[in-house]
Amino acid sequence: MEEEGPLEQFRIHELIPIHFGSLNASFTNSALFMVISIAAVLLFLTLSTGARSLVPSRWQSLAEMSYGVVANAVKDNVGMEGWKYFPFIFSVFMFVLFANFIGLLPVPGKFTVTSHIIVTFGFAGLIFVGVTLIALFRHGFKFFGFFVPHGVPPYLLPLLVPIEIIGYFTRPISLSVRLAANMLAGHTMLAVFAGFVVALGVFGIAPFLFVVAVYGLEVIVAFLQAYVFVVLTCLYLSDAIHLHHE
Amino acid sequence: MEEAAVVSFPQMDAATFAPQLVWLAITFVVLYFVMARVVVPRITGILETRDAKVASDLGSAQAMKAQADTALSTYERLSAQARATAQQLAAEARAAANAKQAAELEALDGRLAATGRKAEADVAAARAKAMEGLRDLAAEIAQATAEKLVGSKLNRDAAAKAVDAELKAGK
Repeated sequence: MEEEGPLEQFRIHELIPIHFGSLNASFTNSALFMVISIAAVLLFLTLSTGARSLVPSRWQSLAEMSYGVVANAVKDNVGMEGWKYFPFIFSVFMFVLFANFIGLLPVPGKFTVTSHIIVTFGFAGLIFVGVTLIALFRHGFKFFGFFVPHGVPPYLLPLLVPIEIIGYFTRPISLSVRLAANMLAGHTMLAVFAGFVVALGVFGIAPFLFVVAVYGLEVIVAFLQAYVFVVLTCLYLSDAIHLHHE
Repeated sequence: MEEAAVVSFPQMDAATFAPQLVWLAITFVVLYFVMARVVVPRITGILETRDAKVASDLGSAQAMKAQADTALSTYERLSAQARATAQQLAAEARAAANAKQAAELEALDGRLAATGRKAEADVAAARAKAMEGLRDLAAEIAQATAEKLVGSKLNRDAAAKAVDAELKAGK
């Protein structure tokens, strides 16, 4: 564990082995950080809003702001038809945001849940399947018209319809890769330059300053990627509900 | 994990996929249910209560403003009325004072005129009396003068007649 390469921070360790037949459901460091993330989210959101103050405390303001960011994303991109999916989208946002932030904490053994493509793909796949089912339930067979672009000469359709279909099915991939790759790249870069700090001795001040700057950037990226993730979720949901093609 | 399963890139180690997905599902379901049952209704409630309070406060503020506006207009109307009344009263008082003054002035004029007339009459009477005395005196002087000049006693009546004639001519 202590042969520190920049990628070691992403290594999965089994903490409590659990097996159901052939299914490995072991409690790993990743699972531990998932539990920490949702615990932090729920503690933050329930404790801060416990007083239900008319004039919010600082913590309550922060909780209301998180709510507002996602509420506006849903209202602006989907409209009120999408409001019943708000708890889901808010949960995704808070999970991803806290996983990203907790992954940035400078503590040994910290783990970034969202740096693993399988986790982000789990979210993206769930969203993709859910959005497709919503579209099918709302529009039935008309849903397949979504793949036929409007106002295009008919002879181009054999080319464009496959492109639309491929574009639709690559959504979960782009959604998951964007988030995981951002987390992976940022954390790897931080680890690489942090290694230089030690290796260069006195001259380590240069990579040290760089690490400080990149760390600030990564804090922004952590928020931004969580936000991008839910805004894209909202756009996909809007497509499913309104079946517009833009 | 056995050495053989350890891939250089941890994200690509397919053996870790199942436990991650299992625990992602467990944690996310827990998160979703607490969010949907507790957190979202609570924050929605807080925001709705606040919006309702702000709306009602704005409403009552507007009502109060309307009240203040009507009170102001009532005050302006009443003060205009009071001013008009005051001006009318002042004009009436001024007119009454003027009339009284004029009447007193007239009465004074009348009194002065009466006093003047009485004084004139007194003067005329005194003058007439004086003239009467003068006539008698003149007749006596004429009688005495004629007696001295011609030595004859003039008839007293004749002398008086002559004085009268002279007085008449002298006038």
